[in-house]
Amino acid sequence: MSVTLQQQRKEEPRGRLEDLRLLTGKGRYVDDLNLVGQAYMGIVRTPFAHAKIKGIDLSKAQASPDFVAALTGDDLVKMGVGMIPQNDWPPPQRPTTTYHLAVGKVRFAGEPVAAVLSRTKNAVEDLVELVDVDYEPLPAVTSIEESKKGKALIFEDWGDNVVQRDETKWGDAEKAIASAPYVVKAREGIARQHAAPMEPHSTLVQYKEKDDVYEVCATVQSVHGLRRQLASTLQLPPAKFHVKVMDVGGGFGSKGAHAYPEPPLACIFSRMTGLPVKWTATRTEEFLEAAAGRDEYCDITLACNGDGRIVALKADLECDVGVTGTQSFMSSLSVWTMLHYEIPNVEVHLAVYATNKMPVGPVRGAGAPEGCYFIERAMNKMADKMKIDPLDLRKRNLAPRKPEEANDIKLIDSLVSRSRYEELLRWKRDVNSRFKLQGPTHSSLVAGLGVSFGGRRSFGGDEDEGEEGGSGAGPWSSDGDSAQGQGKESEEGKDWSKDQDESDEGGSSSWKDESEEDELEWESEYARVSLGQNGRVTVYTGSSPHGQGIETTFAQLASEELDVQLDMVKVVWGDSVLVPKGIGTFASRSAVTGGSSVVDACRKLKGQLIARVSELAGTKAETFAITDGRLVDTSRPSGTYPTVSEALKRLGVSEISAESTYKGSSLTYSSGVHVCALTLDAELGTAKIVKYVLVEDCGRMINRQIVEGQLEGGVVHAVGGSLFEKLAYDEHGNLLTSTFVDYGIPTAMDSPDVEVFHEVTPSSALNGAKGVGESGTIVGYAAVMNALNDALSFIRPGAHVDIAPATPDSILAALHHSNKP
Amino acid sequence: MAEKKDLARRAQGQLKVTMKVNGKEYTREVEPRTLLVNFLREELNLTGTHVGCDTGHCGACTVMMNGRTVKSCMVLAVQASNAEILTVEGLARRDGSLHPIQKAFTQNHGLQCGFCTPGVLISALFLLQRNPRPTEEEIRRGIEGNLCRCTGYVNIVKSVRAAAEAMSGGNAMTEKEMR
Repeated sequence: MSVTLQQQRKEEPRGRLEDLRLLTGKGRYVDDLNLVGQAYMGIVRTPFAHAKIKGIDLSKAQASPDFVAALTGDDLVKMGVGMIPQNDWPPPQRPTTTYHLAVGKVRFAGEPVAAVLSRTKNAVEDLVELVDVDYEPLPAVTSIEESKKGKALIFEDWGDNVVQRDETKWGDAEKAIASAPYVVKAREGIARQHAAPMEPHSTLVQYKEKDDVYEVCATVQSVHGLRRQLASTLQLPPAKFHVKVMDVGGGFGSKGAHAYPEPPLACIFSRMTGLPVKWTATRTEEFLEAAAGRDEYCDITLACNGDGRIVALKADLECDVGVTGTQSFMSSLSVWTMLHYEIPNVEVHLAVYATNKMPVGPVRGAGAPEGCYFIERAMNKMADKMKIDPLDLRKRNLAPRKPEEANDIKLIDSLVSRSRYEELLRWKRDVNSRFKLQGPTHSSLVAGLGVSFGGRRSFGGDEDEGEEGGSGAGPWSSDGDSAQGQGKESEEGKDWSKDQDESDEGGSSSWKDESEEDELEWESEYARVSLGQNGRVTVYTGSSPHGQGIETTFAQLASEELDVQLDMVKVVWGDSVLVPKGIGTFASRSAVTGGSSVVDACRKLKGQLIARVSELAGTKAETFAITDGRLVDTSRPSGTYPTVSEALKRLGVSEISAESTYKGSSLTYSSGVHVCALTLDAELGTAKIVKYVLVEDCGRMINRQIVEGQLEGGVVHAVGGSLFEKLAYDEHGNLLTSTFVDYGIPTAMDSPDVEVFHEVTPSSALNGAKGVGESGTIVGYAAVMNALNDALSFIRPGAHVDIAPATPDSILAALHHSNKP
Repeated sequence: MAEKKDLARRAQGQLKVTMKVNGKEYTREVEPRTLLVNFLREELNLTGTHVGCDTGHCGACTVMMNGRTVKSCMVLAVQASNAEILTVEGLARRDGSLHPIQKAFTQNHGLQCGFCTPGVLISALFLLQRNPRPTEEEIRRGIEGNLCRCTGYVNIVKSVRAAAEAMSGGNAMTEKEMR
């Protein structure tokens, strides 16, 4: 690690560079932008989850004075527009054949069937209603069970509804379980949940005929990702699209990698009509179409020896990805996250199913919350069974012989030494001693305490290699232990990509544009830093902020590296011309990848400047440094030296700049131990979280306020997901929760105070940071659900709720029905 | 022909609306169905007030109307005829210095993506005007109608508390300054 902790303790700025504009109403979100003469796009969406399209009648819409243009799926086919791009990672996934407007049949309620363009904003919804679509409904597949049975086929050419099967295996789990003294089994799961950023999706496109370029503004977590999607869909070079965005009102994955139809449709309309085209989703459209996540279920068996060491894990994971689309990798990440303890015998089967629901995508944590939930819920069951403290059980399974696990033990010790855990245990005893089920003055409140540990640490890169099958070895790693690695082609781990090769005809377009030269590696991010004669520094980054305070964080890094005042640094992002390449912001990656590339570019810049100045001065470069905006020769401390701007003038250059696509050994993440304390109203079945404490190792905190804000927000995301967030469908596949009335996200009244403590250990990132954007959510589910189950079992031993969210219905059912542990 | 007829009918259907927004009077002709939030955003270009849902639940569109908070997606522009409206753009003083609530939010990291923030600020102002020393519970209740997905509310609560202290402390603002 190149950054010392002393540097970390340096005074930090309060308040972010982003804040002034956002607090005064001067933020520029996509829907705030308008272009003269713009037309408004509306999307006709199917009310049926599964139906044949018999015909589309546009005549009534065309007769309206507000009508400008319309598009249907058949139009797109005739125009040669590409299909919805797919990710090919991780293999093997079944290829899909879906268009940006449905062709032939619809596969989920809310799927776009036609698009209309209106002269006025008010008339958009009128025009949408004037489009008549003739449907022939088909049976809808609305659950994993129905998908398995093949109630109907989502994609006829598949022959079944299986998107992916995979297997991760080492040792002999069956045998170890059979001889273990302690075994717990459970079926756990997290329902389908909405990302719910507060800003709905929006797009504004202007096709500039003169330059033959599309100017595209869109709510995205990656301008370069959208540029790739547009290039592959419209089958044009990426340079034809200038994609821009400034302020984005949250994403949580839903504005990331998933390919939505609206931006390419707006491009087509703009080119057809010569008008700027604007589209903004209603909240209901968000619920119908913005990629949701979770919907994963797991039959888990965990076996321990008499010392409380896990000897085996066996799990069957099932995931409902809806009409599988751009991104269906989340359950593979669940498998990887489940394995954060070292377990000698593992057998995990994964089966991913298609249904007639909207395609899922990554939502804050992207599979990791599920994996962490499955193992951490089972760990608590095991602690109950063995009658040992749940924190102690975790400690026993973190081996101090590995440095990173020793750090994790430190987190648990830190929590205990701060006496928070003891205090909460005392509080629980007090509350529960007041609880009596009978009597006139009884209290119906029961306290529960839950702990959870999360330690996914690193992902990708070299760190996974060479590890024995244990933590860190993902299901797709080249580790010979995994079925895939052995090239085994059974039903498990079937290589669908072979099918894909054979059936890859008719315009199915790949997500990755091979012709594009600026492909970056996953572990890297692009940065360019320039320093001008006026002493001002400009940072260009491929990271794409939408609430994370990246402008501030990266300005801090540059100010620190180049020793200039913070207000001399400007950060430029979200512009595919000003920033030629980039990956974007998701997967807790920006401080680690984007931040490290900023540091690397700054160091290169400094090196270049010093080399050239020392060459000019005829001295050794090694003795030069930049201090307080001046170049200083440390071997002759008394001399007078030029300021950076004077140096640039002497060199005869207006600015000096350096690029970086710094690639660390891996992505690296924080680990943490969380404690949730809640009260459960035994009569109403409602839970309220009264206190939440966590100790997290975030590595070096570049900006502590921002880091803690990420953790706190992440935890509350998990609170909603554990207690009430659920996308519900009826038996025909209609979404029943399409507004914030039906789908509640936490309000201030539902949310706990979150107390954050830190333990800082080294990170593999150049700037010492660890990814923290998702940790709160990943670890939070199990903490909340373990607390809830603790309270449940106090009321009625054996009562449990293992499928999140634990709604009042499921809590009361658990209390009043005789489900067995 | 039909098109002309329709346009003529619509022109007749336009209503004149006058309202005072952030101390300045505006008159516009709008379709009767125009929502207050769209009037502010599209007609007056005051885009600090945001639309996060269409059902009055998210609170991103919260503005002050005649001294009370309203969700401006639930109010027609014509209903706000002759009303006094305060939006986020009217919070800072005319010299550009931030309102104590705005200051408290930046110092306490009470915002991340900033989309819900304008509505939260207006709700916080309304709360503190009525209850200058709210408890944590009262703060949470006061902003319950504003959804925030980023912060988990921890720093929003902290910010409102800090604003309350700043506003009722030694350099308390006058009623006029607080609007």
